[in-house]
Amino acid sequence: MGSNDQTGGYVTVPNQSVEGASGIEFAYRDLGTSEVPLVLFQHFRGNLDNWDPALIDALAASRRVVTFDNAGVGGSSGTTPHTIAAMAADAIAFVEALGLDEVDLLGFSIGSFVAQEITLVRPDLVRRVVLASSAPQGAAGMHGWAPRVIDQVGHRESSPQGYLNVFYAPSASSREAGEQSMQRIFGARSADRDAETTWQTRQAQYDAVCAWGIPDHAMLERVRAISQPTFLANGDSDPMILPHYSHLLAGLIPGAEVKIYPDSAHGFLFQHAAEFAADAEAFLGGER
Amino acid sequence: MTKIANFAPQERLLDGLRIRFAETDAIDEPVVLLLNPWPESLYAWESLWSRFAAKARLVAVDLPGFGGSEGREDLYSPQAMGRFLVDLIRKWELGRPHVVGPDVGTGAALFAAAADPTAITSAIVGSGATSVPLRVEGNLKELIEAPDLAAIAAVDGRDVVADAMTLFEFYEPSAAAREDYLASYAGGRFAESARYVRAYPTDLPRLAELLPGIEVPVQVIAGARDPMVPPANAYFLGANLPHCRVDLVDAGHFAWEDRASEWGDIALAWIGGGYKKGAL
Repeated sequence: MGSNDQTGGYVTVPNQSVEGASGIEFAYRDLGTSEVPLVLFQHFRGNLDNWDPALIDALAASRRVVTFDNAGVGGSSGTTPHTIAAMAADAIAFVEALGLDEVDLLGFSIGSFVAQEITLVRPDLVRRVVLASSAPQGAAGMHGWAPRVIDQVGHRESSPQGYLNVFYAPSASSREAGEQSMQRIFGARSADRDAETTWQTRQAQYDAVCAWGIPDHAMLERVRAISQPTFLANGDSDPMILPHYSHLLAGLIPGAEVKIYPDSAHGFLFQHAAEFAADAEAFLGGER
Repeated sequence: MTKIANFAPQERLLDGLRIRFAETDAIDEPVVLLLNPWPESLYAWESLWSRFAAKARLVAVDLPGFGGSEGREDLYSPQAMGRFLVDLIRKWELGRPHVVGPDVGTGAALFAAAADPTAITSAIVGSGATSVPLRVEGNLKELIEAPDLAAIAAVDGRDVVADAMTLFEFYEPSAAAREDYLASYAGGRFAESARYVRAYPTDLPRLAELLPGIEVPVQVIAGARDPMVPPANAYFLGANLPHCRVDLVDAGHFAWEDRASEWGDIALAWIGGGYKKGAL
């Protein structure tokens, strides 16, 4: 059970911290109630505040949801490592520090790579896995974001317009949804906001993304070892991680389910927060 | 008797070659073009024919030099066979079929997709060599690496096929299919057809360069325990094709027959609309 459940939801739930075995002080938020918590893994350069409160509240309506800053990110101490494997090790240390023996994972973008890695190296910890905007390690076309993507989200100063251009489809309806989501993300929480992510985090995470995307077909075999029920989801117009990688993963991970959401891009899970949360809930609440 | 009622292979000339084929006509669309595996023939589809025929118009062919079709020396390579396949689709007015080519059909179907993306709606391949560097094992590796075909040419092809059929795990071919496989490669026909796989070392590097540009969606189905074409070949396609799904089934080499039910489920889900999702 979340120890600091708040009726005000994600915009008012307090920041907490816990020290991992390696000495990292992890910043996290914890709300909702369920036997098996759902731990969320954030996107490139994102911190605790970059989760859309509409999504978190929808998920937390029926289960315990834990968001956290991995090592070196936002309000957590330490330095962001340069590999997905090291990020997974840090994340496992965080989950252990919370005293959790079994968790569900929801990884978004680079967070979905970390979620894959945790599932592979610590399978006993993981019950079910949701991979949003994901790709397997080693697939061609993933060696760094496409030029037009990194040009929008890779600069020292992040721009709301750049974020909109990558996370939302060009249609008016998707843009409108994006602007509403950004108001929730950047405007709803006034007190106790998280620390901004640093340039060191940006560089280290991008190193990890590029390394994950070095074409190497043998790496595709790794995800065949995932035996946990897995739900794959993406927007149909995601320019950052193309949706066909979800279909590739769906074949590779035994029994995986896949859903592609219409008129949406990388931020489909914020745009379609209610629908995605309902789909995730149906999946997480299913029979093992 | 085959396992299929009214299964009546016919012959038709194409490019001066007698090409054996079988077809159904109960349904007009979609068109599914089934290619022979090796060392088998279009009879390899006997286990799935009725299921597929309920959903699509089927045209099964023996590629030149395989099964009951006449061969020609310049066609014994995946790239040349890919061009032949495009020609066949055009001249036989098959529209824009789904091409289903396990085993040796893999290279032919992918070269066809690269040569003319407008000729094919999608491809279902697998259990065929694609990896660069070459990743093949067992008898297939020996055939490809042998300095020449003298040793294999000295053996009656019927004996080679009989030996290959010992790799079937569950599939029990009908008497007609078994005899057709044996007759298809009798005498020197097996050694002749082996020229096709011996072109892999030159053709597969060319194919590897083409893969990232193939816009046709591709479903790969492969046996997880294939002793001749290990799953690395399926991963190679999954990693390098822009629109690809890879499913492994618990099978050896002859997955389309030994696991016909599961293989058919995957293929029908793909032809029934899955190929559109793979193209996203």
